[in-house]
Amino acid sequence: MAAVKQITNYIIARPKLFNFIKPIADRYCDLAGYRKVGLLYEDLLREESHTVQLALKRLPPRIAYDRAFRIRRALQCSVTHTLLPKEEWIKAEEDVPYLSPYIEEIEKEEAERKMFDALTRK
Amino acid sequence: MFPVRNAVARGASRQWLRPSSLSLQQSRAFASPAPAPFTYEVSEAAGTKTVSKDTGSPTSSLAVVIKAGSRYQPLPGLSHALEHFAFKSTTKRSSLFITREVELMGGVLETSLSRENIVYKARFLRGDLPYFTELLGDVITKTKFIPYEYSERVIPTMENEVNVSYSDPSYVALEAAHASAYHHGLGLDKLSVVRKNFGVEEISAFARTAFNQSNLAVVGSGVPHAELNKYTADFFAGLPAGEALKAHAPTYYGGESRAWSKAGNSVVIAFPGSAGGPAFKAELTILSYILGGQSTIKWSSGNSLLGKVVEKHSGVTAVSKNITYSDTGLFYIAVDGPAASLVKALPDVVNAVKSVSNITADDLKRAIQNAKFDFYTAAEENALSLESIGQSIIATGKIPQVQESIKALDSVTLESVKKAASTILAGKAAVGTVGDLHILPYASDIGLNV
Repeated sequence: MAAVKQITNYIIARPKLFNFIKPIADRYCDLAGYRKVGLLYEDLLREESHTVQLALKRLPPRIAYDRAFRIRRALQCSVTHTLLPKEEWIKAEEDVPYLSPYIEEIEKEEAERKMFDALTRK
Repeated sequence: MFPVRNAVARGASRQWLRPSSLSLQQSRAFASPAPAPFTYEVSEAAGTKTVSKDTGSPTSSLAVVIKAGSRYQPLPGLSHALEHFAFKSTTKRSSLFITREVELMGGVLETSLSRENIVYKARFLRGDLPYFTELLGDVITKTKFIPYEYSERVIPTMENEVNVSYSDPSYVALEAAHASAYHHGLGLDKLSVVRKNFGVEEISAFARTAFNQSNLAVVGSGVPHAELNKYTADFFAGLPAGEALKAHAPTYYGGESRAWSKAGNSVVIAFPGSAGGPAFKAELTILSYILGGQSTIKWSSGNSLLGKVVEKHSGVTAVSKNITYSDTGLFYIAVDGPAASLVKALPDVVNAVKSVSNITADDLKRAIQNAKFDFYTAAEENALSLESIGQSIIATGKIPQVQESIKALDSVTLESVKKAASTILAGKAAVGTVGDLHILPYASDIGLNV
């Protein structure tokens, strides 16, 4: 997570590079198709890890409910080999990071714990 | 008093990273003479009330006493939750950071909850005053109240405390006695038995109303007052002036409440007692020592009135105490033991209170000596009496000095004690009975008015 964040920040900090990459990224997200079955990007994050599991547990109830709803709806689309009607597609501005702040928080905690565990007192 | 290490004054946070945080200055602190060790100094540090005494001891205690105990809570259990939110993540550092840092400095962090106050307390080596004042200021003004910390860390510890307390019949009996004595306010459960209708928003809102200059006091023991003031002014700067919380004015009702328990048997017989602070009535304290019950000599049940009673009944213990609140108090006798023995012991306990009318001057003298010993011990021990000092300061802005209190204890006469005993017996008792209700007697059966 931290590495992705670093690359993103690197790109955002350089306007020329950002303007070059942005259309490609938008096109990529569109082609990936997850928005057409009603998912957000962060619904696709690999969740088989302790960190993400804990982050999912920490989500506020409403956001956790919406996530479960989106995943079920996408599953239904997948089973029936259909896409959602166009007006229900997720728009680019709705595709916000809702989970990564929690993941980053947990990664920070872990790093802090490691720092203290490895600490030597002079 | 002793020189402040400039490195510590502001960036106190990483003090433990520096080699040996207590070295030279520490030993100099020992050598410097402590000014009048039992005198409390009271002042205001940029609006925050501070009170401290400097015993010159190598360890110090610092407590923030907040008038936000269970009698002030707007929702049942809110004070308990706020108490358990102590030392959780603040905007400056995480709870893990606090824990590890304090461990490295050899400090002890404690919290306690009473019906009157929440107390956040730190005990530490004398040189670490700046760091711990900063930490407590941080906890009071900058705790984040994160929802997941509430569900992951706070709720489990609260539930554990409730389970442990409520499986103890003597605890339940004392709660029951409070309920029959006061009904509302002081009568409600201290702990969060039913955790209802609140989450972190309500807890942090309660913290915002409770954490203000009129509602809390910083109490130190074994700390130089001038330095405490200086650091309090710095690190409690974010504290709003605010208003003191108001509670239901206590009315003493009296009565009886009974609850089944398989865990054991306990009966608490309570009477109206003495308030704390300047309104303190010494004769009730002395009365509790005359009745006694808790022996000070090993392998002996003691020569106090209750001591003589429990000697006759195997497995029974009886202890009398006076709990002081800011505007009232509860004088009680807690009797524990097997149900069958309690049935026989309880009438004797009530007779012991009646027999106070026959005590001699020697009995009184013994009780006064015991009371003085305990009072001095509490005053000597850094961490013991911080809550009652803070409570008195918040309520009245004054604190009775140790010598004054000792004088009050000394001046108790035989007549005043006998009068106090006959007054409480003539009034209504508040009785909490927990255990085997099939056997345990009602208050009227053992000769009490309820």
